[in-house]
Amino acid sequence: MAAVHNKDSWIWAGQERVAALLAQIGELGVPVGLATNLGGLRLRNPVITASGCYGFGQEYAPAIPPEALGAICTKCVTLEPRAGNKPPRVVETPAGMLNSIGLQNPGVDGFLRTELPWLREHQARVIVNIAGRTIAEYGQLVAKLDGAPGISAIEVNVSCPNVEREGMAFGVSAKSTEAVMRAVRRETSLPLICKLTPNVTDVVEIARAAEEAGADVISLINTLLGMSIDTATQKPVLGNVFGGLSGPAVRPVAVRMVWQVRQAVKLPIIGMGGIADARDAMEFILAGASAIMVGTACFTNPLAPLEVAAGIAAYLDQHGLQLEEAIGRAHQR
Amino acid sequence: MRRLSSEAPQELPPWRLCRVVENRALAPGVVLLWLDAPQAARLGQPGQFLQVAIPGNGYDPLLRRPISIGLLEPGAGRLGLIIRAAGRGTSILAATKPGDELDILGPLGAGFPLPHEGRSLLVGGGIGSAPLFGLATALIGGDGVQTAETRVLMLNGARTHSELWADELAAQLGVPALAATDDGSAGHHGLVTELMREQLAAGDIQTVFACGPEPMLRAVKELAQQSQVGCYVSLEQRMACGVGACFGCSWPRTEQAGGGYVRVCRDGPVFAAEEVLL
Repeated sequence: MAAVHNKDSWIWAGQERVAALLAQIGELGVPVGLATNLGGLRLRNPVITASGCYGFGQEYAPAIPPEALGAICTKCVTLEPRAGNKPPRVVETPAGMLNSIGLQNPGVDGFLRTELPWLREHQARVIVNIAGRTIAEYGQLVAKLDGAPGISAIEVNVSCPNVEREGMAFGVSAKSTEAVMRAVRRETSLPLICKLTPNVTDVVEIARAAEEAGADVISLINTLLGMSIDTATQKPVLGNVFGGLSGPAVRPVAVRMVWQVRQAVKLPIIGMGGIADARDAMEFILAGASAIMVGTACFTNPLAPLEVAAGIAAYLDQHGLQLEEAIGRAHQR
Repeated sequence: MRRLSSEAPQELPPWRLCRVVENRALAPGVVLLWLDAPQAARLGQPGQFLQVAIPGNGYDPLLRRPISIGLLEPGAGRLGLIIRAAGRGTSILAATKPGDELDILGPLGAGFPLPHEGRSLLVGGGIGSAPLFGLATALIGGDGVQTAETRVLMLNGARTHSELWADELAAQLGVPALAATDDGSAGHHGLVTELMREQLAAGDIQTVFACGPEPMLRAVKELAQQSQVGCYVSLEQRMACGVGACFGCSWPRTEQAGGGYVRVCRDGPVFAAEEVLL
């Protein structure tokens, strides 16, 4: 009497729509004008699904062929499996949402055993997002990932608490960001992306530290720390009290930070924060991002990554620009 | 080879659009919304749900609302959502009119397993009665041999008589049902689980299905365990993606089932009661 229902029936008739979008960004495997290269990370198109918003790719695969995306950035992987935070873990806020998932994941061994083979089999370009509790853990994680076939780059999440520094996030200090990036740099020649937190006074200082320590790419922004209180129960909504704010509400903050980092460092940038359509994506590209990530928008529109890619192609076509020419164009006087 | 229209694709993909064909008030703040959605109606199973975007412009409210499938009419290409206007999003949905378009994702999740024989007890609290209607009508319509009474008994609980829409709807649909209200203004004066205890004592119930507030589900699970009858619960949790990608709607799993968390949206929303912590 087990419930055996087709959990992927939601994709009914979506194939036509997907085919039309794929045609707009160029036939599969034939990158036209949208290809981009970030510090050795070559992408078919500049649209990547953001960490934590696309699982390990399997849930959305019935809607979008994984190989059609610029890359899939995985849910955060840690050294040991993590159960995650106490529910409730999500709450809607004006034009956004707070989440406190707590890095629920199968651990790096589980990832390598079950998730990565699936991604390889589906020809996805894979960026593995990682987080550690100590600097040594970051190094160990990268050592385990280095050499595993099918990984295109590693994104280092420095927004998590450093248990050796009373839980202060690594990424709020230039010094500890640098220490983390040096530790991971020693372990791999894969492109390393340092994902910056916006919960800092001066993001530029942190970006410079990451560059100094050998990062190949800067990605930003991670979520903004926030909280929500239920006025009926008079208690915090989230089981973890605090959560990360994402969605359209954070976009102006993210665009501003991409702009600042572009002016200060030479590394290629992956921009993200509230991108829901191609116009939003172009803001980040014009501010200096060579690629962008689509996150929260996937929850409301599973086709958002493809629509954004198709819309970027349309924008470039309309303005007679190559992607390369559009990157950072808003800085030109 | 790249020739594109000059406009970014902004229209809603047609495959997710459906139309409201009827909005029927069931009680103050509760409506039955009939949607013309042939594919979803054909594929949907009792206990599954739809992720419904809140109509309007802009990003506020941002997220879709998970709404359980209340009634299914696959032949007519319609499905019915029973919606309580609880917050801003559901209030907007409850106020939609015939002809309005809704953007739906679904059917999603794992619904109720359908027992092929025996009598099932369906226990609903408040808006939790909604998904049980799809199950009740499926059980009754399943065969021409047994009568409704031998297949199903629905127990609906509400605070007071004016909120007891489920009892009226059951009568209209020919679903055998009993009611309980907290204030005694209709049916049994007290908790719906007290009715459940009486019914279990009668001895012919094989399976219990329940949906409602967590304290009610906890009591249902306990009573079913005591009587050693199978028990399935449909859970409600704050949700973001609805397809299992974000791990936002997690619910603690019992140690005996392996511990950790399950995803309400994809592993459920219907679970065997012994699998989830209540």
